[in-house]
Amino acid sequence: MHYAPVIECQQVCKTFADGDSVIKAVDQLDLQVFSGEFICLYGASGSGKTTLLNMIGGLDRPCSGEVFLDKHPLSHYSDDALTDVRLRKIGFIFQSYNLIPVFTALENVAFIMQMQGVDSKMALSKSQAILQKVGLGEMLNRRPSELSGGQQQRVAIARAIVAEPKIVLADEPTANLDSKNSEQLLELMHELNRDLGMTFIISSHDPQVIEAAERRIELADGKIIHDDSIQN
Amino acid sequence: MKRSNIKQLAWRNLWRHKTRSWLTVSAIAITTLLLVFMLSFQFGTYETMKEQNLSLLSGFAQVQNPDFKEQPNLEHGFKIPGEWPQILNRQKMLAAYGFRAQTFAILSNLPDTRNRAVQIIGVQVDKEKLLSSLSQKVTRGDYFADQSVKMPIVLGKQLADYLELKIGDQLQLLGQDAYGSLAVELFTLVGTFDLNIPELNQQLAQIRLSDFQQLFAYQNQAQQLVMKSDKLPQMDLFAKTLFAQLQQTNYPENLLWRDWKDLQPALYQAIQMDIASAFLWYSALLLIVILIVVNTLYMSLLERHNEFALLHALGMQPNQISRMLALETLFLILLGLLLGWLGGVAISAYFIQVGINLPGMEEMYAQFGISGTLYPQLSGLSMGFVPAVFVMAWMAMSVVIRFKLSGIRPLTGRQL
Repeated sequence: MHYAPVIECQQVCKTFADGDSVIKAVDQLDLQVFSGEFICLYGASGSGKTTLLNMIGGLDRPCSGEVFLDKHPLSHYSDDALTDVRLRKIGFIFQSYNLIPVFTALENVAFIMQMQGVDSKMALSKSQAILQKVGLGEMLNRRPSELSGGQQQRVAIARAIVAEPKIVLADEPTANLDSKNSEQLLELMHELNRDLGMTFIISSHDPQVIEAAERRIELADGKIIHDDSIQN
Repeated sequence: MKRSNIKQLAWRNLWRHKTRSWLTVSAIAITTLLLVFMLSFQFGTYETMKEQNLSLLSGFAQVQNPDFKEQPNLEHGFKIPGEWPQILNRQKMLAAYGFRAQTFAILSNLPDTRNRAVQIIGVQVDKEKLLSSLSQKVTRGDYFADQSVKMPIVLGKQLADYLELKIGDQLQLLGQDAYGSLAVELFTLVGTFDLNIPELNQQLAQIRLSDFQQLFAYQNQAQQLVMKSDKLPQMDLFAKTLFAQLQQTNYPENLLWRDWKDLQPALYQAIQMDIASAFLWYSALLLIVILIVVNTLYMSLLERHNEFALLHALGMQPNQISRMLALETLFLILLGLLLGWLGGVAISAYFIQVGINLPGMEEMYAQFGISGTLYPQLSGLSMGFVPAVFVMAWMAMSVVIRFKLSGIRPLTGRQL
């Protein structure tokens, strides 16, 4: 079902200064991601997974090269416009969950839709349905501090998908979870990928995640050294 | 994002650190309560000082011959136009008025063993009773009550004591009339007053204006038209029109309108100086509390940098984040202001009813003609000064918040 690339990286470079030396985090990288894919970026620490994810998500800008989202170059967007692109087209799942501590699970999820200007009633109703889908239908009114790590990450997933973004970016989503919770989480993400057709790009070095991915991309020194789609 | 969502988030954020928020709210509330009450008490004291002091003799405003201010002698008076009483009686806000004339003369007791140079004031007795509180401060005898007494005089208590006079005793007045001739007359002491101000008790004497005009060859003349309204601020409301009407009468000379500030410059300056020094202290107190709020805000900016970066990463614009933080600060300030303001107004309202007695201050107050209980006065300034300062401070803080958050970058995976 992969027709057109939803994400395309062309000769993308990202360097960081480290004292007198310059570190190439991502080095002239080319990548195409198609709609509905379930991808895992993996590699050793410092291989450039997170940096690439940041640039795809519009959280960071490349030093050279271009990232296209739905054929639109991200470099053409102003900071405010890019913020709006993140809000409407990209869902984020972070390693540390990063939920808003003063909001309940339901409010955390609805918050994204409310930011988009959706009517509060509708946002809450849809968020409730999504939370039920991720298995937290009984914990709608609990605050993050009253939830386990696995439950918090489920809320984070619900938050990422509630507004039906084009792609969901997950940075080490299982890093703080035990293997049982990791497995359940992966199953959930797979299910959402299948049912809703959302593109998932996960950065991880967790073997469970790598194993579960449909397409595995290995990075080393900022370059792709293995890509299942090319192999296939 | 809708404003209501930002408000909801800001309100919830406020209670994330309950103790810290309540401490800041308390600081604002206590300062507001104190300042609302202190300002009300201060303005109430000023009003009492002004009204009691001015009611003693000078009235709230006077019309005089322009030269009388510099040279208060019989040369600088004016003929009382016949239309003036009618004009004055028509003024609904004018509570009392009266004409006066004054000069210096020597009073002696009849054996002529004691004498003293004093200020003699001729007053319209019936009008003076409404105009001045002096008639209520007669401690011996009465205030020209017995119409049958020929040439009655009322003296300050200490003056009467010095001249060794009792009620009913006769005394001699020796002065100079309007034409420079000798003016001599025997008067009968009908009353003595105690104004609590030794200088006035020793040097002041009042006689009837008709006796004054006859004795000093001052027929149908006066030097002062003294006026009083129910409340001092009312005087300004009709002063201009009244003065214009008085000037329109067939009056040949210039007239001068003197308001209370001109009549009692020392009192006015004392109040102004007191206000200035008090506001210096109040400003220092407000500055300290505003710095506490700024500190709370600054801690938020430092501690919650990653949180703001996360919200930005999720799609919240920097201006929405700064609006959220500005609202948190506003809620903090409004809550403190509301609690403090209600407390300050309630305490002031209570003391407006029962009054405040400050033991040991009688002597100081007596210098300003004040006796007894003081009453606070709630005014726009006493109730609005502190909120206005806090709102202005909040506006300044909002600009700083906007500036500080304008360059915020979204949270990246690397920062987690």
